[in-house]
Formats: sequence, structure tokens, C-alpha cells
Amino acid sequence: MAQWREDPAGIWSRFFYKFPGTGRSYPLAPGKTAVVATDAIDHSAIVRTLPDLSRADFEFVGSSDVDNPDVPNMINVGPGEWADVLGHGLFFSSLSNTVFIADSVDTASLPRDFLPVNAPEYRRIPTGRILDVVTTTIVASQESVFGFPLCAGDVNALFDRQRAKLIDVEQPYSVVRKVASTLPSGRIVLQRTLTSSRDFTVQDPPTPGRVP
Amino acid sequence: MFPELPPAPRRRLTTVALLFLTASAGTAPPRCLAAQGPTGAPGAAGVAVSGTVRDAATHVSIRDALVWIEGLDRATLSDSTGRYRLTGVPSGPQVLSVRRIGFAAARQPVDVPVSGTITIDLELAANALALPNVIVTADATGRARGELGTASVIERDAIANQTATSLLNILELIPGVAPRPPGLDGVQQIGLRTVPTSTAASQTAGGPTAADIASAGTLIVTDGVPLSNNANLQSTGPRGELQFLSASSAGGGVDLRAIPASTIERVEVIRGIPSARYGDVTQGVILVDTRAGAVAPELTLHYDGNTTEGSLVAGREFRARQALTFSVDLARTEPSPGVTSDQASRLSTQLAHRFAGVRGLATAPDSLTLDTRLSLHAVTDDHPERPDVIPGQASWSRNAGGRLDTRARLTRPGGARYDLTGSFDLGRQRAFVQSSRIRGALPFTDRLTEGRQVGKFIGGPYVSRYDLDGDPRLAYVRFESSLDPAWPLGTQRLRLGGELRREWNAGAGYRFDVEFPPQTTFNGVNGFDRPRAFSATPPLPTSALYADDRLSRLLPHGVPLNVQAGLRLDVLHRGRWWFSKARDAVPQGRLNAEVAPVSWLRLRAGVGQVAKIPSLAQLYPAPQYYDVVNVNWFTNDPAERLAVLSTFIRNATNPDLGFSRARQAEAGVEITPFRDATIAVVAFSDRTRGAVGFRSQPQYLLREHFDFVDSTRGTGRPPTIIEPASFSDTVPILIDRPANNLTLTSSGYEVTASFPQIPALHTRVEVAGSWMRTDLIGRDIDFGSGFSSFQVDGRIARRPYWAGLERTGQRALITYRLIHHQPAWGLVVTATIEQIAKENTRDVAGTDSLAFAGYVTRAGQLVPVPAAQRGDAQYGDLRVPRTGLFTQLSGVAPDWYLSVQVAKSFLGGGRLSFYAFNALDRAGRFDVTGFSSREWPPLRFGGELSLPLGRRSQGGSRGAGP
Repeated sequence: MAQWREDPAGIWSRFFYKFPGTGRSYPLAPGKTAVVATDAIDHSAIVRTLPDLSRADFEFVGSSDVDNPDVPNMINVGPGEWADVLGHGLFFSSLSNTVFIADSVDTASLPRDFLPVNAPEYRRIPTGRILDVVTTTIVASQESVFGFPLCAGDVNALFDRQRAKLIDVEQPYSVVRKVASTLPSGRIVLQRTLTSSRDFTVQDPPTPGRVP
Repeated sequence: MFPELPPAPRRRLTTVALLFLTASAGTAPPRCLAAQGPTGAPGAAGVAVSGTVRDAATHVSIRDALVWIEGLDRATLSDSTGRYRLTGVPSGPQVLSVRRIGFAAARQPVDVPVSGTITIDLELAANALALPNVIVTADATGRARGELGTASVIERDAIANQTATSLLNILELIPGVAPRPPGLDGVQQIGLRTVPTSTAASQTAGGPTAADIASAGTLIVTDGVPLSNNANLQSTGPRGELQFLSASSAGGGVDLRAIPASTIERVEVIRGIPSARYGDVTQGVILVDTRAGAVAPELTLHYDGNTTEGSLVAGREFRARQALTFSVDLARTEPSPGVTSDQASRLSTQLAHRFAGVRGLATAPDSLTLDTRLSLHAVTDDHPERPDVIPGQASWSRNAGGRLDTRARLTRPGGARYDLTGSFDLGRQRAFVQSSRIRGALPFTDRLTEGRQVGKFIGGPYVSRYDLDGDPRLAYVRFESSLDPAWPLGTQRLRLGGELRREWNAGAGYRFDVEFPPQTTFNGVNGFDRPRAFSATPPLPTSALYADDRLSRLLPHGVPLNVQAGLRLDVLHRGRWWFSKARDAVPQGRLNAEVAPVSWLRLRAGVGQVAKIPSLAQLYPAPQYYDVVNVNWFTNDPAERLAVLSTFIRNATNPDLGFSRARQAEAGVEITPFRDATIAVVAFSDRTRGAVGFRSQPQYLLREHFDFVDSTRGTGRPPTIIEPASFSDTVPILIDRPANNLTLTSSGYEVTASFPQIPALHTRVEVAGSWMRTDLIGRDIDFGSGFSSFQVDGRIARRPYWAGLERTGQRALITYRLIHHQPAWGLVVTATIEQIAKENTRDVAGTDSLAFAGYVTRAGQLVPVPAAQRGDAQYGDLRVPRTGLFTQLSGVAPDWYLSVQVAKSFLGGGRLSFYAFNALDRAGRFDVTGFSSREWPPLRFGGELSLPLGRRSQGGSRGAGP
């Protein structure tokens, strides 16, 4: 599987979602943020310590979750074979995640391949369309839950050189990009060295939609 | 024990019947003091066997010892001088058996000549371990009940030497059955001559799961009455709605933990083709005789780090014609003491009564015996909450049952015998599962009937609790007559019989608060669980008729021939009782033959058909619920939210479901190259057609979509839907119906070899080996694991399906037993080496991207695609590798482990034994992934003490105690 992980031609992925609209429907100005929630609801009403995401900008809709009519839904453009186990749309439950954003592509025309075990379908987003990548994995103190050594990475070093060991299965948190500098104007410059282990840190409690 | 023994000679009928009761515990082969060639005139109907029974210690003759030929109606009592005489014994290999209260029971293989009289003097001992050649393993040539198919007999001494907790530990003496340490941890199942194929090999080395034997199983008969699990409804549904209980035999088989080893007198395992007497079986028959009769009181205590067990067996004779026996067994196992508080416990008790009497003229009386038993058992599993590990999670199960059975046997002066057996089993199965769950907000309906209604939104943490309350019942009646027809072909024994069974479940069923179900999610189509009352499930009535004839005759040149031929008809009825029409019927012919061309060689072969009754759960599966979301309007203001759902209910019952049918064949050879040495080789091939699996039948539901009026936010009211629906789309679903769609083939070889003792070492060697391969072939199509995505994702227009699924398992086990015996010390040391030469399962179905057989549309229509066209461009979206619940090749590397048992008898007939299971604590190796993990159970060691509590009667006394 190394040929997929180290493929310089792009990133192989199982799940693709498209922002709704034409590409100009929901503009995002420099320095601003948008929240894409798994469920755009007030989670604190269910578990007191969770955030209120009822004002999120977008939400993923699963097969058995609620649909907030005031929040636009992300559009699934993936292979359609995703087993939506909990029925709540996309969320990052793995102990080793790679998340990236890319310019629009025709996913139906992408190269596809299958993992040998249980054959999930993967497709490759070409290198030229990829805008940003973050790769994370579990914190060192919890690595023993795997029971086996981890692969060095999920993507070619062109995209990211080293995973950030930030995932804590016992705490809610935000993964945030570190601040490289703050300009005299007060504008924050975020760090981007194409190395997640250096560029990202966590914030607990989570701070969705806020730049540090 | 009340063994099914042949009648005694006419003049002593009453006495013989009583002495059936006075059989004592324990087994040891009688020592043959003198065996001489046939003398006297040959009798046309067979040979006479005579001799004297003596006490091995004092050499005093023993009167009133019951001597009989196993499997034949030939029995007698020794007279006041200890002499006995059996006439009409067919030539060829036979087994001479003798019992007497106060002594260990004994068996002796005998090669009966073609004519004349043979003299066999016998010795009995109070303590079997003090006799030479004590048998502490299965007798691979035993035919205790006259069955000609491959069988093994395990007598009481072998059972005691096993330091077994339940029946499963005893069955480890059978080739192909992997050992497990004594204890009650985990459900215990058995499947003869088959490799479990439903789960990974590493999990099945100890035995199959209920899923493995749901439609193909081994029949277990205790004291002449079959056990059944057919009315067990404590199962998960085909979609896995319920949580699996960790220790449950729901779905198939019998949990052998309910049968304690301490109260078993003898086990006969018929691996070959059984006689027509036995039905509801596809994989062999296990006949269990419990200890009953005038048994000298015995207390047995067992302890190891995990398991504590105590048992008491006692019986006595009273009022000359009656006997009463009582047994009780208490056991408790803690699988991980100090780590968890999990525990399993068992209480088993039995009260047996026999009345024997005569009626009619003194010169030709009829003999009537009445055996009645009341058996009770309870097996519990407790998994209490561990708040520091998984808060809220706890479960328990309590399986209790009682059986009242009685058998009336009338023996006529001419030798004809009539049996009427009736039993009633009452079960009480309780299970409770609790777990902490959290679910996100989602639309919900608790509707119990079909239709559309306004639902609500639910979400948040909760504690799920559900109860499974089943009360299975079994009413069973059998009538059987045994005759000695005077047909010219040879000595014959004809059995004609009929059976009636009715099984049902009166339990409250699957119960939980609908709003807090065990299942936290649904996919917007396949619905939440609903409670189900088991008492609403119809009963399962079956009936059977059978005829079975055993012929013994001499071929030219004095070659003995035994043939057992039978025909059985099983009927599954459509209604509630046996008077209703047949839903399915299966005639089954069975034939076994055995010939001994020379005295040291016995050839056997058999072929036949058997059939298994489908279970209640298979005949009447739970209805399947589908909850389709029509409106999902979750505004930030709770007052303005609206959920509308439509509930569909589909009946998954298959009216065509019937018996699983199996064809069995075997051929074997038994060689006795020299005295006390036996080598037996058997090849077998079984093929079960129509084993029950699930057939997924695609259908579709219509999902309505609605427009709203008044959907403006801020009104404080939910919107109103506009009827009729603005449009509808189809949602494909699969109805999972039980169907006779699986084929299970097993073939292999079994080898047993027993060698005589090496005098200088006081040691002998026994080897039992088996190699077998099982193929599970699914005849229906399957839709892989991604069907739920297809259901809810309207972008997907079609989805591939695949045909045929085949899973193969192979197992090769070799057991070496070194038995060191010091009769003078009453000491037996048994070292058992279990070698696992092969143990794996794998899928062999096509998984490549061209393996699909067609596609299903969103309207549930199946469209086959010819193989030649599957590469066409138009089918590009279907060319995906096969998905599903595939087990990749899994298995364990060849390895071995050693267990040791030491048994020592002491004064008064007591016994003290120690054992160490997996004495070297070998872990085993996982073959495929290379991960280091434990495959064999860890070292477990402990001891067992048997104490005789009562005075043994000696010599001429027929009593069993005070």
C-alpha cells in the first residue's frame, strides 16, 4: 500500500464532500472562518460540556441524524460506499486522520482503487488541486491502543512531512494551526511548513470557528 | 444408572430388573482368568458363553452379578457359585459386560467362535485403579447399545480420570474434539465430524458457536430422552438487532454446562450413521446415562484457581422392588479472579426412581419396570458492572430447566419388549443486558403498526436495558416395541417405534423501553427494534415413525455378519398439533454392516440419511421493521421542529422452510494385531443439503416527501405538511428470510490406536487422530456489506450482487496419551499431548471485480449480467471487489501442548487426583498475521477428591447400604 501513501500524483481518499452553491454563494474573506459541523445543533443540550453548533455555517447530513433547515448541507460526492455507521454524516473518528481541502474536481472521473481487505473504494485527488492538508494521529501516551506500529504517513511528503500526535481519545478538543507571528496591525499569521507535527496543536476546550 | 439393557432369562426376570438398579459406579475391564476354545455341540442360533465371576482381591465367587452381551438382548445373573451362562450369542466380535453393586463395572471384548461354548472367567474389583488394564480413555470399539455405526464408549472410570466439569470435557476423548480446561467459563457446544466455519479458527479451537450448528447439529440424549434447544428464542435477529449474549446457546445446540460430569455414568458417542431410532440430527448422537441405581454414596470435591465444584451421588434399594437415587452437583467458575467479578455457576440435581414388578402366572410372568426421573438444573452467567472500566455495562443470564420423564417397559415371556416413554421439559431462560449509550439527535417513532405518524426527536445519553425472557417447553412421547422375529435369515432384533414432539415458548420475550432501545442508531430505513412476546410464536409439532432391524448371521466359512437396516420418517406439521397436515416430511433409510472375515479384522461400512428439525426461531423469525423518515425538520427552536416517519412491517417467515437433510457415509476397518492392541481407521463423508441460512430478498418501500405550509421560523409552531405527498421515491430493502439454502459437506479420516502395556514401564500408549475438512456453501445471492449505503443514498442507481459463497475449514488434531499405571499403588498417571497439525478457515468465493452476478435496482429488481458482458463499459460501476463479512484465511500455526493427570486410589475406594491443563503454559502462535497472541488456554491446575461415604456391600449381599 506504500504506492498509495507515497503517491506524488495526489492524495487517495475515501470520502469527498462538496460545499453547496456555485463557489461564489458562500464567500469566505481572508482571516475569517466557517464552521462545518457534523450536526448543526446545540450539542450542549445533549451533553452539557459539548459546544453549541446550531449556528454553524454548513453541516454534514447522515442517514439518521437531524437536519437543521437553517444550515446548508454539505454534498456527498464520494464513491457512495461509505458505511455511515452512526448515521450522522462525516466525522473524524479514526485514530489516524488525514484531512485536506481541494479545488473542485469531477470526482467521477478520478482514478479509483480498492483496499484488499473488505474492498473500500478510494479515489485520487490530483496534486494540482490540493490546497491544504493536516495529518494527525493519536498522542504518544495512547499509542498502545493500536497494538502494532503505525505507518509513517498517509500522504507523500509533498503534502505533509510528519503527522501531529494530537488525537486524544479521552478529551474533546480542537486541532488548531499555530500562530507564526502577529503583525503590528494585529493580523495573525498562521504557521504552515507542510509539517503537521510542527504546525498544529490542540485547544481544550474546543474553539470551533475561532482563530487563535 | 438405568441402562437400556436386555432382558434377563425368563425365570429371573424380577431379579434382573432389580439388579439393573444395583449397578455400581466405575468401570474396569474384567480380567480374563481363563479362556478356552469352544466345546460342546454347536447351537444353530449361536454360541454359549459361560464362566465364573470372582472378586479380584479375595477370589471369592460373586453371585447375582449381571452379565450381558452389549448391544444384544442376551443377559444373565451369576448363580450362588458365581457361575453364569449366556446362550445364543452370535459369532464374531462382541463385548461382554458385567456389573455388581459394590464393584466397578467391567467390560471385556470377546471374539465369539462360530459354534460351541467359550469360557470367560471374570474378576471384579471394588477399586478399578487397582486392576490391570484399567481403561481411562474412550473405547473406540464400543457398541454398548448395539449400534453398528462408528461409536466410542466412555465409562465411569475414564470420566473420573478426566477431571471434567461438564460433558464437554468428557467428549475430548473423542477424535477431533479439541480439549478445554474444566470450568464453566463460556458456553460449551459440540459438533461432531465438522469444523466450525462461522468464526475465526482461533476462536473455534474449543468448539463451535451456536451459529455453526444452528441448522446442523449433534443430538444429545440423556437417559433415553433427547435434549432439544429448538424452542430457544434468546437469539439475535438476522440484522443483529439484539446484542449478543456472551454465553448463550441461542440459535443452536445445547449448552453442555448443564450436564455435570460428576453425575454421568457412561457416554456413548455415535459418530457414524445412527440407527433409525434417532432423529433431529445431522452430526452424530451422544447418549448420556446418568448415575442412578443403588450407587454407593460418593462425595466429590474439585478445586482449581478458577473453579470450585462439589457433587454427591447416592442411591439405595428399598421395599425389594424399588430404588431411589439422588445426585446433586454445585459448581462455580470465576474466569478472571481478581480482575473481574464475572462468574458462572451451576446447580444440577436429579432424583430417580425405579419400580419393578411382575404380573401374570409364575411360570410365564410379564415383567414391568417403571423408571421415573425428575431433573433440575440452573446455569447462570454474571457479568456485573465495572464502573472503573466501562460504566453502566452489565449483563447476566439465568438458564434453568426441569425435566420429568418416565418410561414404562413391559417385557413379555417370549422376549418381546414394549417401551412407552414420556417426558416434559420446562425451561426458564432469563437474560438481562444493560449498557450506557449516547446518541446524537435523530428522528424517532415508536409505532408498532404499519402507517405514518408524527414522530419526535430524541438524543442524549441513556442507559439501555433489555430483558430476554424465554420459557421453552418440550413434550415428548415415544412408543417402541422390540421383537425377535423368527425369520430364516439369522438372529434378528426388530424395533418398531414412533415419536411425538411438541415444542413451544411461553416466555414474555424481548422487552425494553421502546424509547431507550438497545440499538442507538438506525439508517433511516431499517428501523429500531420493537419488543416481541415469545408466547405469540406458534408451537412446533413433529412426529416420527421408525423401523429398525439388526441381523446377525454366519456367512460361508463361518464369517460373522452383522447388518442393521432401518427406515425413519420424520414429519413437520403445519398446524399446532400432530393432527394437522404435513409441512415437510423426510424419509430416511439407514444401513450399517459389519463383517469379520478373520478374528483380528473387522470391516464396517454404513450409509444413510438423517434430518434436523428447524428451530422455532428459524420457522417464526421476528417481524422486520422499517422506519422511513418523511420529514426531518430540526430547527433551533424546539417548538418548531417536525419529524414524520412511516413504519413498514415485513413478515420474514418462510412457509417453505423444512428439514435440513444430510446424507452420511462411512467405511472403517478395525484391526487387532495382537492382544490388547487395536487400530481403527474410519473414512467418512457427510453432506447436509438445505441447512438453514438467510435468504435476502430485495423489495422496495415508497418514501413520501412533503411540502410545507407555514414553515416560517419564529412562529413557535412546526410547519404543516401538504397532503398528498409532493413526490415519492423508492427505497430498496432486503427481507431476510430463513431458508434451506446452505450446503454443508464434511469429510475426513479418524484413526484410533491403542497399544498394550509395556510391562517394564507399566505404560501404554493411545493415539487418536482426525483430519477433516468442512465446506459451507451458500446457494443464494448476497449483496455485500454496503447495501445500507445503497438504501439511503439516492445517487446510487444500482448495486451489484454476487452468487455463491463458500467457506472452508480444515482441522487436524492428534492426541497422544501415555498412561502409566501402577496397580499395586492404585496409581494412574496420564500425560496427554494435543498436537494441532492444522486449524484454519478461509473463504474461497470469488472476490474480484468481475465476480458480480448482476445488479439490483432501487425498485428491488434483480437483473443478472452474463459473465461475458461483465467487462463491458456500461457495467463499470458494478466492477468493484466483493464486500461482506468475509473471513480471510485465518488459523493457528501447528503447535502442541501438554496436559497431565495423576490419580491415586486409597483405602475404601476413594480417589485423589491432580491435573494440569496446558502444563507448560504454551501460548500457541497465530499463523496469518504474525501477531503474538495467546491461542491456547493458559495453564490451569487443580485437584479432585472422591470420598465414598457409605459402606460397600460385599459378595452375596444385594443391598447397597444400610
